Amino acid sequence: MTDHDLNDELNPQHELASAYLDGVASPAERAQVEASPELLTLIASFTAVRAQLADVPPGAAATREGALAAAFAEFDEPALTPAAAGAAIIPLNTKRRWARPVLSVAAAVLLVGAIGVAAKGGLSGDDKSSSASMETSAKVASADAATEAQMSSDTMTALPPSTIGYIGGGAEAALIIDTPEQLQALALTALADTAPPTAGLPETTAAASENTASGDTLPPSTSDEFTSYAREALRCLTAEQEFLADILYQGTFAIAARDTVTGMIFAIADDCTVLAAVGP
Amino acid sequence: MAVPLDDAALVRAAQGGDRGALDQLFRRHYDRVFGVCRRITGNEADAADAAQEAMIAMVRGLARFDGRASFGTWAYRIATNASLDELRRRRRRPIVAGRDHYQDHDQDHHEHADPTAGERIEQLGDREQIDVALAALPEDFRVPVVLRDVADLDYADIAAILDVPVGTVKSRIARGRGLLASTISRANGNHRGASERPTPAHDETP
Repeated sequence: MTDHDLNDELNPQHELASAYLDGVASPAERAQVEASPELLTLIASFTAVRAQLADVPPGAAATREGALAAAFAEFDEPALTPAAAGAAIIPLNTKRRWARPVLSVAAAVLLVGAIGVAAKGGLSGDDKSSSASMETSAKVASADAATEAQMSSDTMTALPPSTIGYIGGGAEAALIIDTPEQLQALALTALADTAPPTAGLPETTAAASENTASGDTLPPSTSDEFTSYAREALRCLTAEQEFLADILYQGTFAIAARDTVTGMIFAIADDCTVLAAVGP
Repeated sequence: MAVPLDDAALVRAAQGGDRGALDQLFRRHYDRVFGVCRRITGNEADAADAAQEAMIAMVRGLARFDGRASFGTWAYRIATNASLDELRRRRRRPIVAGRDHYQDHDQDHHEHADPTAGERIEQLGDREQIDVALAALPEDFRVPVVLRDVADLDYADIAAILDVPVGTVKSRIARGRGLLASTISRANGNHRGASERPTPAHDETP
């Protein structure tokens, strides 16, 4: 018999000793145990195990106070209005701080480029009014994008990191990344921190969602479920890995993350599959 | 001197918005919640995360707590779920380097106990020994043993938490204790008692 066989069958002596230890043995079983030195030895070993199990190293006071503070923060939250009660509340992630302006600027670049192409096509025809309209639209769109980028920047300046986040629906942007080289280019841009990801970066897509925006939100919490993260993939990060951006990697929603120790860059899907990994 | 309120009274007060009552209730139970998380997850960091998640979940669920079970049972059920969630998250994390023994064992948590655990814990102190022995124990056995010996829950409560029959709880606890005792006993070079070969016997109670 191997040790593995222990998993496949129940030793009746173990069961008897365990029941005795837990006070659920019948009078006959108790008598049987007390008459058996072998069973009493077994009970002594179980008792020792129980003592070791119960001797849990105490958590640090700071850990306890942190947990209680988090719980009370939840307790102290004002009650949601009926309208807001059905909305998904997106937890906040300070590591996302640079993503909004970067994505906004990338979106602006794409928008201007796309309109430029369209305008060029329009100019080849005779429809001047269409061309003028395009030009006006391009200016407006560009101004809107710039304003959004400025607002994102202002918001981040004005608010402490812990309050940066999204609430509710709306479209969400994700960078389309199709190759490891593009992933690396994104990372290099991210490492520059505030520089917008233009060089080497692919187009941006507006990944609209129905009410919770491209997986950036989770359904409202039910009972004891925890909805602590925006993208599911954020749960996959280790302590050494930092979030870089939401991406669409070869058609799969994912996040780009960087290992702060090794410098490796990863595209990680919501099921924690590593879609790509590139060296520093 | 004021008589401390029992859990039920504190729960009612907390449900009515009494922050102080909630504080008292949570402080009364935190250590054991943490202990359950610590024993199920196997390390301080994951236990801290799980315990915090559990406390937050308790706040969220407090209004729905109807008192049919004791607050402790309810709290340890949440702590257990939070710990198992933490283990699942840990298993899903991409691993670049430096796997620890818990990650290795968690890969096959529903499979077999690790027969080499005893050899690896010979040089460890008691606390480390029980950590390694628990890590080698399949999750199906580890959780009921922890709920019994750390949370001090009875078989019926454990059965309710795990949604399995009481007989299954009883047999899993017996097996778990047997495996733990065997592993530690082997590590200590003591092959008597629990380390004796089990006799072929009954199937687990369904």
